[in-house]
Amino acid sequence: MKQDDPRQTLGIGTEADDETIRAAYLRKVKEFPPDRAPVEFEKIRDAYDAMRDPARRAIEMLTVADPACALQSLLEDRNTERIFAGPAPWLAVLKERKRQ
Amino acid sequence: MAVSGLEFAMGGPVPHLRLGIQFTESCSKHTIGRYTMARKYRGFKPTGQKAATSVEPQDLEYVAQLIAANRSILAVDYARELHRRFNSTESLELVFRTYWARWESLLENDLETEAEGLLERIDKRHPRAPFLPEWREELKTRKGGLAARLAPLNDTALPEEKRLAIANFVRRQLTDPRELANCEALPANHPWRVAAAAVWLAFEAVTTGPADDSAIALPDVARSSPLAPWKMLIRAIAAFYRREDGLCERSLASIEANSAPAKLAAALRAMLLCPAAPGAQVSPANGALMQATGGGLTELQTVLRGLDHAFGEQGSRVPPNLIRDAVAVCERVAPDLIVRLKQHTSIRAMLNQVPLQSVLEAMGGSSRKDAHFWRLLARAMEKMAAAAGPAVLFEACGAWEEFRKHAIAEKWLPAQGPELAALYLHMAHLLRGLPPVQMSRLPLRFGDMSSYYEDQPPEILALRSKGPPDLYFVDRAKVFERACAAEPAPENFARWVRCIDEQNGNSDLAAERWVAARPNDRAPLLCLMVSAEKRNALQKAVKYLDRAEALDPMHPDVRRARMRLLVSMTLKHLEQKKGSLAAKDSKQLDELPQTKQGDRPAFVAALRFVACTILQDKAGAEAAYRIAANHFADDSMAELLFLEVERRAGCRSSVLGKPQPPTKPLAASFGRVCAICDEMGVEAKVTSAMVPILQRDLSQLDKRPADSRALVALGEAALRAGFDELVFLISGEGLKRCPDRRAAFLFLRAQILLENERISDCLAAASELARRSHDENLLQRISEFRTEELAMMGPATMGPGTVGTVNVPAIVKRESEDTVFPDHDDFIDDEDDLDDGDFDGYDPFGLPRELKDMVERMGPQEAARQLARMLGFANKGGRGKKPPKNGQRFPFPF
Repeated sequence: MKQDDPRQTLGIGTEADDETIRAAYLRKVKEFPPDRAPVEFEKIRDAYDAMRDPARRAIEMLTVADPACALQSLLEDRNTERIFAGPAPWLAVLKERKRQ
Repeated sequence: MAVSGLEFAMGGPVPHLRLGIQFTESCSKHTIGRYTMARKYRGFKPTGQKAATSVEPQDLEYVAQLIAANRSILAVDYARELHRRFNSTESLELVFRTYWARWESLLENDLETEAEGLLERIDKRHPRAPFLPEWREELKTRKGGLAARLAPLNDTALPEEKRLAIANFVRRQLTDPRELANCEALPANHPWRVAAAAVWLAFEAVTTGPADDSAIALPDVARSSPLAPWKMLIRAIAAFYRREDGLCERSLASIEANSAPAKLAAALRAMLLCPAAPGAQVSPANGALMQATGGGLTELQTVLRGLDHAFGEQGSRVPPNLIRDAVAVCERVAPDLIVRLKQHTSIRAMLNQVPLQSVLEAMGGSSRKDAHFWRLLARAMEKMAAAAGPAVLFEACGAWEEFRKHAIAEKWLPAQGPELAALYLHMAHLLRGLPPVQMSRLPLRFGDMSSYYEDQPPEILALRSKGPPDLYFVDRAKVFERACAAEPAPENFARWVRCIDEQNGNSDLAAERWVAARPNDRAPLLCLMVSAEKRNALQKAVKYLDRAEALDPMHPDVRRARMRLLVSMTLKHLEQKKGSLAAKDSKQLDELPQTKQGDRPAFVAALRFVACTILQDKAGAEAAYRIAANHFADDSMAELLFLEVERRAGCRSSVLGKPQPPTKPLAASFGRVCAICDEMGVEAKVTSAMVPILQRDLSQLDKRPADSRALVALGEAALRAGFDELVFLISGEGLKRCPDRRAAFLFLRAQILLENERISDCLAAASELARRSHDENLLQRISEFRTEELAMMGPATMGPGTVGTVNVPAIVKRESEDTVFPDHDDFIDDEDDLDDGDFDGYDPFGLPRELKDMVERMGPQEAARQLARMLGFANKGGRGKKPPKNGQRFPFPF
């Protein structure tokens, strides 16, 4: 994602609707209230203003795609997933026959 | 005799040399303690020395050192060689000693299978070896499993070293804590069983869901416990899921390297996406773990990194096998990502001009043509336009049109609304500066995207255009029309109207749609009023104005429009010699509050004067004249204004008779007249007879600041009349004397220059100054001029149009100090200045053949002159437009 990407600032995905955007904004404001974190709050406020205006949101959606982006960047969102798979696959590694 | 590459610091001859043997050249060395010895040797060669006849102390010492250095294999081979040579009791004892060392080494590493193999070999060679029964017993015990190994712990007299050996066994071999927790060989309350149960609970908790610190604290597992590595592993896994990667790394580093949990350290490190060692293999179980947890995509990342590198470095020669490998790995590791990978790969390949067929074959088929793909394709085409020329922007708009259909179907965009309007506005932004293209000039099959729909699933095929494609997007005005249909916002309509005006079209349709969509907006009514006024449909214009006044009578635009329309009507009636009607109109004008400002009363008086002369109302005419003369406190000034109004009213001669000699310089007084006329919506005219007088007056102006408003108006009147040299002089004086209107004077200067870079500089500086003074009207005019220049001269000829503030003073200084009117012949005579190369990329679809032939025969300059003459551009003037004089301007792009 680009630096200062409003979606990244609010911690929302590309499919976020108005309600999700607002909820994310309120969550971030609780985390960075204006009296205690004015710089971060301003960034969050700017991001919210950009995302809640449908036209600006649409422009951001149109222009965010970079056709020449590195293919590795496709994995950026993937890496955020760390799935709890239970103990079995972990034990399978331990029990795998040791090669000498 | 030397032993190549081998040294022994043993204080004596090399023991093996006593055997009369020599290591071969293929030895490799390593150092153990204070000895350097071969790690692997390849046979022995006799050296010719006299050999020993029995085992000697040095041999024993050497073997002991090998055993101490954990080189039991070397020790066995050496001892066996000794025994083969000497075949003595001592040599046999030495062999047995080395066998014991080997046996212990194998058991120490829990290599029971290898130990069993050793036992069988020794059984064959030395069946009476005294240690064989013991070995068999021990193997039997080991095969009994964990219970058998742990059972001796119940013996309270068990030696400590045995206890430690069992603990080491557990540390190295325990791959499932449940085995120890449920091992009935130990009592249920044995500390190890209790700890193992706790370890299992913590392990299960941390791999199943978020676990808090209390669940994984494991206070009963001490650092010396054989289960300590499990404790660190559990902490590492907890840190992994909490994304505390630094803590995860530190926990992994504290796991003993030879413990069972250490096997997971490599897997966890890979899942943290640490750089993999070259050629590192991922075992099947590791791969399954990575896939299950989703955190390890190292293999995919590696192949994608290689493919990115190839796209960056090899251009169109990217090996297809890299694409094939990436697709294969992605299908295995992250199958939900394969669609996006194929889409991005195909677009990257297109940008790199990799042959299409090889890409399709490597990917195993074409990519999915959904909204994501079309967005990528459109953006790729926008990037390509910089190198390939602006024609690609039309194709980019075609891709955006496909994106629109799919985005609506996939719910990325609603079918109406500001989001959809934003898409159309983006397309219009791409097309700015490009002229509309006639459909007949489009290449064959332009806009036909059907080839993209081959091999696509039904839901994609359903959105394919049926029939000829709708190529609305080649006309910017039509794109704006769609934007207005999607979101009927005033700014969208304003853009649409402006676009049509720039194309010199009739914007009435757009304005009427605007009125229909937004009946309470006054702007479209004023647009329609102006349009009607231009057509001389004044009654209609009045009706539109009445409607605008009904909405907002106090708005400055509406008030100004009323004044201008009344002036226009009055002048028309005066031209038609309808004195009474004109008198009525001038009376209405007189009643408007806005005509009381500045010099406007004088203008209204001038209108009334002409009306009275038509009606032969001498008293009325006298009264009107006195009003103006008193207003200016200068009869000659009033006469100038009255002469201009008479001229505009179509009077062939003035009733004033011979004008009085001027009391002020003509430049100042006529400039003031031009300013008044501008305010009233009338274009004052500079005649050729005035030019030398004005030029003389301007050069003799005193040092006091001039009336900037009057000077600007005079300059614009001179521009309309085509007196470029006069405009040049006026703009120079204005830049020197009128700092408040430098933007306007720079704009005047830009409009009469021919040197593109200088035009660009003046426009950029004018824009910057207009922005600072919030002069929206001037900014709009500059923008329209720039667009017109782009349309006429081609995009390559215009600069970027922006300049930092630091350059503005320099440009002002340069232009104000330059008093020499540029010789336009320098720019015109040389045909090279107007060769086809200047317009490359401007007319993307080529000129008609006949026109091309004409240009080739005559040259572009002469062809333009001939066309201008044919179409009557020779003497055309008008506000903002310069007549092509002596070939100065060519209205046709080449």
